[in-house]
Amino acid sequence: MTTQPGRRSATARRGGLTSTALLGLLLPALTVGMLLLVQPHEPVDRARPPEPTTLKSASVACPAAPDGAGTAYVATGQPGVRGAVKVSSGDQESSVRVQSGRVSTMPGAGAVVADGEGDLAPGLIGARFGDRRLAAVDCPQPSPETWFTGVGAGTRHNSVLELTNPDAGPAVADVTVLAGGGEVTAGDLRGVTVPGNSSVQLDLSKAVPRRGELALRVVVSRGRLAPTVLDELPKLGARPLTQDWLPPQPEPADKNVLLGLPAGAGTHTLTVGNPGEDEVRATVKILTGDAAFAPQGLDALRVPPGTVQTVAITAQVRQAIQDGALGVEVSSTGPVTAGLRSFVDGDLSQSAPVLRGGTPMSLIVPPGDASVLLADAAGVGVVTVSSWNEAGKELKEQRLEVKPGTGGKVDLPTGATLVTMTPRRTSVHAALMTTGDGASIVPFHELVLDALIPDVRPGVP
Amino acid sequence: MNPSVAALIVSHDGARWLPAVIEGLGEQRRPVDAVVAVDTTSRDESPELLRQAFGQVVEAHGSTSFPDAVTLGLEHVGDCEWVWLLHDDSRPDPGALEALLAAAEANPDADILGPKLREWPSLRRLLELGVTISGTGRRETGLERGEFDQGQHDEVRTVLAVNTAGMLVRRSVLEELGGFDTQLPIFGNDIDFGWRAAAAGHRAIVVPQAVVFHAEAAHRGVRRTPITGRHTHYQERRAALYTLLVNAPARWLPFQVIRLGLGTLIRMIGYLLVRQVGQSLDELAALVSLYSSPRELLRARRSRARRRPAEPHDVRHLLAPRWLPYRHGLDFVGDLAAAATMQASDVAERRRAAKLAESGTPVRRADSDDDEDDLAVDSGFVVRFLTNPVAVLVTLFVILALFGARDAFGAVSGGALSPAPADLQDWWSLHLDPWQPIGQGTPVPAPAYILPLAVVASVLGGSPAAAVSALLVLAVPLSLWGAWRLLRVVGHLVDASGFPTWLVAWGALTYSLFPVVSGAWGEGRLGVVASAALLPWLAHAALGFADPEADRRWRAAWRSALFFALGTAFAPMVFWIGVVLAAVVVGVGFLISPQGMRDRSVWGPPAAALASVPVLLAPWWLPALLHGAGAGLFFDAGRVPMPVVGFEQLLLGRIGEGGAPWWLGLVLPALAALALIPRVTRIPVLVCWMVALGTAVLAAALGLVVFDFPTITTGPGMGFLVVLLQAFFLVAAVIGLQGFLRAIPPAARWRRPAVATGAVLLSLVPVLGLGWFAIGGHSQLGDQADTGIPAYMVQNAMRGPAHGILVIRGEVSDGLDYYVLRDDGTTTGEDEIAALAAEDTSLTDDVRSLVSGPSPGAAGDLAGHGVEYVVLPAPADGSVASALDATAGLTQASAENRSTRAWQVERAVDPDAVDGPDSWLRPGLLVLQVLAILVIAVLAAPTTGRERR
Repeated sequence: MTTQPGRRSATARRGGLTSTALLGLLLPALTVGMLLLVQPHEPVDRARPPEPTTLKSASVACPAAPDGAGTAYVATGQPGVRGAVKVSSGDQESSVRVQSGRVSTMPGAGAVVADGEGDLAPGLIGARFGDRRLAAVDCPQPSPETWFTGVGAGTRHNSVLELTNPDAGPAVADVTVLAGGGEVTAGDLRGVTVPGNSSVQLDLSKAVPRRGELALRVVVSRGRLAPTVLDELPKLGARPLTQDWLPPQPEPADKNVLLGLPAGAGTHTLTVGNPGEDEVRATVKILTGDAAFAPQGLDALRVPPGTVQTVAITAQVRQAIQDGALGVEVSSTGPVTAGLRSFVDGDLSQSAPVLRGGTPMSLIVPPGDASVLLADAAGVGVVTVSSWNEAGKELKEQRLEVKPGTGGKVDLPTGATLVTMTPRRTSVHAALMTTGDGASIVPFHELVLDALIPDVRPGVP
Repeated sequence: MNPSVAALIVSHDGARWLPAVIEGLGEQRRPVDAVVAVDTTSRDESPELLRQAFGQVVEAHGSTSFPDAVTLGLEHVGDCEWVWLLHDDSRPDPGALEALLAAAEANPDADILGPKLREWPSLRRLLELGVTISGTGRRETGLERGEFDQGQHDEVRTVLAVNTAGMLVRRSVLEELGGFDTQLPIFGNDIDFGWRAAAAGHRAIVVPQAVVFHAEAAHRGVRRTPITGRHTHYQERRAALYTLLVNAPARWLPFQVIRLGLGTLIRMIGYLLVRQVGQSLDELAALVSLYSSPRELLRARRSRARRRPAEPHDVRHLLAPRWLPYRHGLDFVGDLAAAATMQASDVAERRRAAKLAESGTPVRRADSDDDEDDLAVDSGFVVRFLTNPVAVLVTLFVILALFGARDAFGAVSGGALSPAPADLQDWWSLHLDPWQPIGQGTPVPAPAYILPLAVVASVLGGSPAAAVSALLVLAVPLSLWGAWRLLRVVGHLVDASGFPTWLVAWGALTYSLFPVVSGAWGEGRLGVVASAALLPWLAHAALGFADPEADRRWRAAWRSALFFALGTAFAPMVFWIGVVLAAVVVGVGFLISPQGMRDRSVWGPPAAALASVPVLLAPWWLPALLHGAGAGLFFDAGRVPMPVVGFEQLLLGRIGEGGAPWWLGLVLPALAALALIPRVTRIPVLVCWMVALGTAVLAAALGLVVFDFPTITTGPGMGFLVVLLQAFFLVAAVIGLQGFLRAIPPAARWRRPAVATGAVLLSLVPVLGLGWFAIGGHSQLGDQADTGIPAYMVQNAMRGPAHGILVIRGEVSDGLDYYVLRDDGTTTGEDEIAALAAEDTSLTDDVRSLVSGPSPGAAGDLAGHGVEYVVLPAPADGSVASALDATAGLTQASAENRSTRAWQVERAVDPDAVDGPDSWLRPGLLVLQVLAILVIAVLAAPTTGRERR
């Protein structure tokens, strides 16, 4: 047996590569080559966006008037529409006529809900204004999750959360409170049940009494609820009580634009909440009509996870207002919530992050000198601002050209009660600031015109 | 006074043994007083021999039975006290009679004495030490098969009966009982006689000090007489049944009649299973012959009753214990299993033998297994075990592997594995029913692996969870066992002396870890795990195609068919790659030797093995194709989608995410490439690479296939191709290592250290793999996972398939998925059906309108679809939840998890919501499947060799 391999190797040496050696090189190479051709089928997670369809019904829920003094209004942001909306306040039901360009008054000082059906459903808006000094709220539609940042629960700064249920069945909300030291457990705020067609007011100084600024997260776990927060600085010595509503924020974001810096003597306080698991660094910039700059003497804000942090920006803002500052931008390393409280000339006003909008947006204008603040446009475009007076007559249309990252300020004609702002070829952050007897800030948001029909398909268990 | 003894020899064609018998009789230390020889017309020189020895021979007719011959002989026996019966093939030991008489003196009450019967002519194997009969008519000696006489039975015992060969019986008793029953011409007359004697109060003892050597010529069929005929088995069986029926007490008789009838049926099936049709018919003929002549039986019973004393003696303690037949049944099954596992093992040897026979060289066994066997007999099990390092290592390995598999003990699910159903009935109905109440009801058939799992679960006490757990826990030991057997045969095919044991062990251990280190085990991919465990067994069976005997090739075909079908049931890729490789091999065969391949017994067996698979699995693939679920023919067992398989996974042998470190997977392909270096073993290594290339080609082709369902998009299940490729790498590596070993000169001084170093380095592969597995923490397996569905809803769903739970997941912005959970949720085997079932578009529409906003009537439609609850598992999309909250006809329901939302449909569900049509096709396919399994199992079964030749 030993001779055979020897003989074979001798032939191999003579004839170079044998056929088996050749195959020995070829086969592994071919195999590996074939394996390289194997195309793995990676599972793709395709997002299936919903299909829009015309909205068939909509509700806006206005909170109760502070101390029973104040009026609620309803209007439509859509052109060429008229009809009646059903207005209910507790057990009281009535019908209010609504017409494009006109603002209608809703009866009652308590929480009031307007239901628009058919043509009146898309673009239904509502508002409530306080009577004492300038205070205004854009009546919200029910939403599953809402954030309010910069609320108080103490004797020197307090807030009242109002939850309004537009439906006949009961609804339940879970309210989470973030404070400077982390999340606060408050039994009274877990599983808050709101009976059908009614509203519940939660005084935070009773539910979670504590000092310092807080952030609230309102999650609706059953039914539908429209939450609002009325913020107040109680009477302190000679200073009288002052109130205003705090605009909502739908969800935490990495970049938050807060518009509306009332000029005058007073303080400006920025509150940043971090609901995430990691600490974030937040930097503040001042936004003017054509620029954004970092103010001097303001370091980046460190916000530990699950807490809120407050920073006074009075000094930076006072200077900037004279340079035409419209608002601030909070950029952070993680999603945060923010709120900007201005206490100027004895009046409280609150600003919250505004989302960019690219479609027509309408608001009911509070009494006073109103102007539309625009910031951080996404691209080159034109923003048209149309307004109507009490009689429904369209006032002078104004135009503002914007470039990427810029904005501006458009003062509304006197007597305007309804404003529609239409960005063309671009989208902008926008808010309506009214001054006069104090100040009030109401952010613009895109009107709800469509219902979304989700892409539904069978899945595997 | 010395008792007188007459020897009575009955002979028929016994010339082969008679000289020794006569000699043995002459050598008796206590000579007999007289000898009477009866010859029943032998055709050989027996009468002559007898006449020479004893002078006179009583001649009888050729058809004279043994009882008649004895009666005839008795007439010629003069005056004597004892008669010593001897056969012409039983040679007494010189001290036999002396010992018998001594025992008779010591036991004056003994009337019948029997010697210890040993194998002719003077072997130490014991044949009988007294006999009795079991309830099923089996002759019981109480000895192991082939037991050696080491004096272990050397005490005088009372027995039911003793063999007539060497029986010393009082003449008076023989006459009193009327001699032997003429109805029992050859077989069983001794037991009948003993039974009658015992019933009459006589005592039979066995005297082990007396030894008689017996050839058992008639029993073994060596001698055929007109009386035995060709059907020895028939005669034996008839005798046994007759003995039981005529001697059993009257009160047992009805029971005995039924029992023997049923027993015969079972024995017939048993004989059919081992393809002994003749024996099976003999069984039936014996039963029919007796049952059709009740008069004869009654006559025999009456004659026994006459001879019995009024109060017959109880013989029960002398009969075989009741449990004995069942133990024999178990032994039989065990033998069958052993034979089935052994039958392909020596294909290499037979090939070599055939080759040598062709070349005219005498056959010599290649290895020295016999010596090992002898050692095995001599020393105790523990000693043998402890002195064998490989056995100790393998045991340690298996223990650690079982420890590593601890996650899989008990009810287990996770990864690609759904929990097993709580009730075995669920699996059976999954397999048997033509319509599955899954989703909205579907005719998509159950995956094929449900049948084997259900069978295993039935064996394991009806617990499906135990079946799944057993499969996962035993995957490594089963792979190890299979790979070991395979590599041994491969070793002998490659090299006459086979692989060294340590190399076989290395290969088998490395392979056995494959299901776990690949990550398939940890992800609960039953299909890959089961097919990996089956692969070496399948390959081992398929090696039988290379057997030199056509009959064995065919048997290998049926055996392979069963393994193919089982593997295909778990991973259909087994079949597809089987077809590809068989085509390649047969094609290459035709290229190399067209003449040889033309023989039908060469290409037929592999073709038959593959063609049997569709028949065996007909209830699965045919309905699947008919109902548009043909993609299931490419899905591995387990949840869909299939794991991602690409270059990396195929080369490194990884499936899924939870595998061992990737660099460990580099070793095998590298070794397989290096294996091409040694010239002596290059051809077989090239063969491995060639089939690996075939596998790679199939993988590349299948990589292009994508199945797009409404529910899911997935590629085909290629887990088995990963396993197969690694297996080829491993076999190539082992062969190559053998080549390296042979390349080292045996005399080289550095041989031992070099081999030892290499072995230690190689052992790192299985050791690291095992360590990784034993440490654990890589698997996704665990107890029943929390589905997020409130428990009370699941309880309610168990009320019936119509009480479904509609589960909606996802967000409006990214799209929503829904499925309907019924009964105990989606359990093992239902995933594939749920994925393959056709979409119920009307339900999709209803769900869409439900989640888009409050819509009147939507809730009522749900009841019509068999939906009682709607659940949005956490995190629920708020807008969907609020739409459902506002829908009339839905009431909010509670859930443990506050972020899970649930509603109850107010209207009562339609009880027939998910019912479907019946099908005539499925029963037909199921019957076909059962028949195919039975027939192929019988064809594949080995010859047991229980018939003594």
